[in-house]
Amino acid sequence: MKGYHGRFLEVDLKNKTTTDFSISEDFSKAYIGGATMAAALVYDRVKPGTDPLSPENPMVMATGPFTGTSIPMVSRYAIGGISPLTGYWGEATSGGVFPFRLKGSGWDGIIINGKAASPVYLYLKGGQAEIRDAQNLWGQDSYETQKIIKEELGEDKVGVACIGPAGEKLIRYACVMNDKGRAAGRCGFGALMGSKNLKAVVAAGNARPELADAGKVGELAKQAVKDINGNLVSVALREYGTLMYVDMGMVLGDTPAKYFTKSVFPVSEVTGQALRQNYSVANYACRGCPIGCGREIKDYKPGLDVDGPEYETTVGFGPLCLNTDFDSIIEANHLCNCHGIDTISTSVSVAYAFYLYEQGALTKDQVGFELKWGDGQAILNLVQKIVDQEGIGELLSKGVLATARGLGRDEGEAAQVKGLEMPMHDGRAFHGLAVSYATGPRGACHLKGDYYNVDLGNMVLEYMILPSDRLISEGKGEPAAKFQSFKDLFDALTLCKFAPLQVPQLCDILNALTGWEFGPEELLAVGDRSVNIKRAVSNRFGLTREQDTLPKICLDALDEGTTAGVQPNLEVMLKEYYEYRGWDWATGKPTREKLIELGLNQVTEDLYPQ
Amino acid sequence: MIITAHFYGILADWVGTPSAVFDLSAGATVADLMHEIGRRYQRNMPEQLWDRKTDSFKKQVRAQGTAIAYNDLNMPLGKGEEIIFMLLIAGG
Repeated sequence: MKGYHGRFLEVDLKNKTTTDFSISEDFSKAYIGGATMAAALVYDRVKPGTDPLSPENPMVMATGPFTGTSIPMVSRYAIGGISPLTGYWGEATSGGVFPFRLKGSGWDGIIINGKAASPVYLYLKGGQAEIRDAQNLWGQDSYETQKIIKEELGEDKVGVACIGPAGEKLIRYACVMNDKGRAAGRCGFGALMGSKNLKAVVAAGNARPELADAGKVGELAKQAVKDINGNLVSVALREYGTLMYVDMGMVLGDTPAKYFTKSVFPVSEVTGQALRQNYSVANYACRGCPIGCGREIKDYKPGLDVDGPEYETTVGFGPLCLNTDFDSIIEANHLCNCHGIDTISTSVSVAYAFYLYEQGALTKDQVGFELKWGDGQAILNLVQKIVDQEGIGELLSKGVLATARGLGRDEGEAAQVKGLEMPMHDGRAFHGLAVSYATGPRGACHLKGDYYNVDLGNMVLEYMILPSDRLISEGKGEPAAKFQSFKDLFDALTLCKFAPLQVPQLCDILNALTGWEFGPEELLAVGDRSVNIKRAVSNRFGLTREQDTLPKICLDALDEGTTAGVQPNLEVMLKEYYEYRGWDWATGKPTREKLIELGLNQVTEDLYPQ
Repeated sequence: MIITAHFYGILADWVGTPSAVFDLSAGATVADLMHEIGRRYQRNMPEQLWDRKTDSFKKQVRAQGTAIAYNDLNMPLGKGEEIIFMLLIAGG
């Protein structure tokens, strides 16, 4: 098989053994790689009802056929498993150098089972795997962990993906960090690693699979770089990073403020321009990326460089908390990175605490200090309490749904879907996004799909995903489903969501790497299959249609800004969505016919036993 | 007639001003406005921002009027219209 190593490393941490698990060409064609292949592997291994933090919950790290090649914007990997935060299918992706190294280690990915008796890390190089002692690393923050491992190995050309103290403490939204401040942030896989006593995965080597047509891949890579560099969006991302959208998002009512109850905020103090003007900023690029949308803030404090906050983080600790103090946003981001917790879930939990305080549901005695909207120091204190598992921080560290339940509050005020905290785009501003959030494979996810991009004019002609009035619900269900499948493909291919590559280009690249003959239809079918197998995993863990919804606090019409008085009609869009998907309205499961059409035979037998 | 153009977000940096006023003849279209914007500011812009063939912003720039989106160069402009130009891309 071309484009793949054709094997995953299967690790048994309890018995300290490793074996190879072969993947066939048919399997690879069906699931391609990344999060989609991870879902298929997890489906086969996890038993319904498994506690997400038990040794029986496997964790998969997967690359794809694009990873490690000369194609730009593909040095990414995915983690998949049952989410410790949601209890359903979870996935997270990250870019950097680590994914390139992981593929170079000689496997397409890793399946991690069991729990080690004491802290360990996994070391992969040139097709050899070792489980090494990591007791000296336990308790170290994520930056120190990466640094110590590289120093101990005495080599710089290694990739490290690790957890910080938050993962060790099993904080439900702990993440997996790589390449300093890059994060596979969502769904709590840091906690899953921590539950396995696995501090890090370290990858080295330069093993590359044979390609079907290396010359063609080279040509396609050159063309892709040219297209990316000629794209206006690339220029904007290079200049201001993801933060370039903050002020535009506010105009559109898409950037939430005051815990999703406002959409107007003095935003000019927390924009990409403000970051550039007020700090010494350098670009960070994942391996092979000609854009470099990441930010590094040089000498933030004497001798300390820190990673710059992304759009999600800035809005979460900024407008969502009514905070204009950029220093506190940068420090909150750094604190989260050091301890290894997801900045989206953390900031939404912090903003919820402010909201509860204003409502009188939390008191100064319970918190330990006052919570006044916009108080940057109070934000930092709350994040510290979360990572220290101290006082109210312990409850907030379980996420907003658990916090609402713990305090006996209406769950409709918990800004989450299926237990995953809401990102910093507002479904009231783009109705297609509202249905994407409600149905996202991992819960509230702004990346599957980022429907705001469609209604801002970025169409996908091959699938007839066309822009329309962003504030109209009718007719959005089907294109939102298709776009979700299309964006799910990106995490199968391990392609950055910002890559402005067209569908025919993606097919050409995949075919040149593998020798296959994929066209746009076959590609979208993989996206459909991906969404459905992830859905089936969650269905087996109790997911029904009732969870395909948005919380009241994110649906109630606002009284200001460009979305004043607007409320998405979720019911209408969900019916259209279910119709396209071939999902059963009564149970929320893919229908038998749909599963058979997608070739998911084992899933059919499991969900519809004879 | 007077038309006011607001360049939002990073467009303000690229064009070189957050807003500008144009005195156009009655019945002027989006193309006429674009021509004037180009004449005044194109030299400041990154080359990827301006489409020389159509003498207008690239299609990733949205022109939003008070009530409607000006998505066609042939569309006539409303008298006294205020138009927001913004880049069609959202950060994640």
